[in-house]
Amino acid sequence: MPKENIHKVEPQSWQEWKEACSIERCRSKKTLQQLSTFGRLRLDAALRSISPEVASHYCAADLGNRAWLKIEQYLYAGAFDKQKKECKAYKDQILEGCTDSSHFEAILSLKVKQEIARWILSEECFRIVQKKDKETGRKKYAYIRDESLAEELDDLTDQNDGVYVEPASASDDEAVEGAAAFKAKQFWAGLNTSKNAIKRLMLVCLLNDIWDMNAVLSSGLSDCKKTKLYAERETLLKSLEMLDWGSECKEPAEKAYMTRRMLPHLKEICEKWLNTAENSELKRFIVTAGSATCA
Amino acid sequence: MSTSKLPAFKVAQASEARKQFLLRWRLERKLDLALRMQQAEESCLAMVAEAGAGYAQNLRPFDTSVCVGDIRLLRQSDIQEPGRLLYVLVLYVRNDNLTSLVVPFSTYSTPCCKDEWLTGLEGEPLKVLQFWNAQPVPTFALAQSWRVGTFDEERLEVAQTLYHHAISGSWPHGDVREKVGLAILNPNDERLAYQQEELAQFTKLRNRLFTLQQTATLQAKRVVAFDTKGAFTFVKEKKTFKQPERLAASSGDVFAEVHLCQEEKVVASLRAKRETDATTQTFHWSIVGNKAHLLPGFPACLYGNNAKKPLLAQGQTECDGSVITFKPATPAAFTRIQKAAFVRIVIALPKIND
Repeated sequence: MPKENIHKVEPQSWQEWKEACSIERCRSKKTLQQLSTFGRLRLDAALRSISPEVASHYCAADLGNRAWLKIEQYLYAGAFDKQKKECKAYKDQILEGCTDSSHFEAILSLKVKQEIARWILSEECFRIVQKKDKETGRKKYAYIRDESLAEELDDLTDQNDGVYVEPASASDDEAVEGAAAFKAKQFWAGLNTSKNAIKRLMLVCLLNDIWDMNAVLSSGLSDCKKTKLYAERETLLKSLEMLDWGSECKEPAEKAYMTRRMLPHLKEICEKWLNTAENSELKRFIVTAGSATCA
Repeated sequence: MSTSKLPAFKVAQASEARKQFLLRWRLERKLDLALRMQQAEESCLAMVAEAGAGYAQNLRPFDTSVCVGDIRLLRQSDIQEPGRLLYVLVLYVRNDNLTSLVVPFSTYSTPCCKDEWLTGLEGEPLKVLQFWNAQPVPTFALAQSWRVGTFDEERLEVAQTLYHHAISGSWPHGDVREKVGLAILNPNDERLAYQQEELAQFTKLRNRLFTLQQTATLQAKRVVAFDTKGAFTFVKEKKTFKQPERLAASSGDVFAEVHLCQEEKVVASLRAKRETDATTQTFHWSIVGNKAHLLPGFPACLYGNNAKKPLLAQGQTECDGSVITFKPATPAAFTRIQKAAFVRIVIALPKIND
């Protein structure tokens, strides 16, 4: 076969592959060669910039149809018998929306470069970091083999503290929700004194995602100084953190989890309270400041 | 602060294996986003996004009988993202509201959140089910997809249980919990962006569901009339269908004329034979002859000449579309259908290729 034809898959070759389930059942040498090359070049293009090692493992020129077989392995959804007609459904699905063979090849190429490359790389445990190119200053993604998963796990723990805690058993599902609702009521009631009015204002702001103390000051809702507002907010956050959830819930992560479960209940109580006539001015402020924050 | 009335509860740490799910998921997500960015820079997406047809040759016909437990590959034109192979599990087929409940499979190989489950299937695109993204879709649209496999009974039972956990917000326990991801508690969690993307995959099917419901409502409101000889008229369109003559030496079987209508036009007229299930007070009409236009989940109306209003019951097509089922709302309505001298069935075809 002339070398210039290797990079092109002719419609007849696609047709043979479509009928034949897998490349392993294609009889024409031309089909075999064209499909192998198509798969090898696409997969190599996607993998090489990330990991020449992995690219060579699947896409070296002397490996025959290894790249294409890997592509098929993904597309077949693995669980089924390749001989059955059900396993060819993906071909029909891709073909169904295509205008011509170039369109079909474009879709298949995109799948190889995106989904299949991702699958192979994540199987190989790669991770991505962003680096700055020294010469051009342009930001680039770099992929490095993930030597230590534990390192990233720590990062996760820091980022999502409390996320790993859950109700322990079936009977705890409702109990956790009940405890969160109970504590929300109790916490709100604790702020319902004139002495705690600023703290309650801070809580209303927190629950409505308002962090700008200048906005609170200029609203005239409080005649405190800015430092006092910050101090009250600090105390409020501490008291949320220090809530006593009973003897079965002592670890910081467990407490953080319960506080997170409590917040929607607290927000519900807060909204009801804001909707009363005497709090209309505060409600107006929350709506205005909230939308300003969003903008 | 007193804790005397605090309900007793116990919380526990998720296992290390499940923590690894999240880690693995984040890795896949990062890779995914970076590879997507690369493709966008290479301008590969524009060509792929072209909508079209015409190249499709010798496509395998759709598997039109929709069953609970089917693993189906949705057709390209029903999915938002060009080139996506979107597999779904059919969790329920509803025989009363034209829909089926499907659960999509994730593109990632590990569960990202509490309502995603590691199925235990080996195929890469079938490893994880997204219960949080379970959707009612028109059954007829599902009939325009390919069956690629089936869940065994045990796996299906777990899936149905997990769906109920997802809608109630409760947790699975024991071995099953070890196969689900971790809860999303932080409103800034990156997993929420992924959920938004995945929800959008069903935009087209949600539109088709809306169109279907509109079609069913409009058909039920159509004004029809019978004359004394059983001729059936669509009043607004002034289109009348005479009552066909009864065959001599009838076997006792009851037949009805069936009209297939699309946007007030009759596209075909067929006959159907009645079977009555007195126990469940349900009528099944089996289409005789050409079933070319039929799919399950089309809305149908049953009209009779023996009531003030000719509309006796609303139902739907089932199985491969060739059986029309009506379950009258009351025993009196059931009797009226049995006693009607002339009956007609109208199947309202939604636009099936939109």
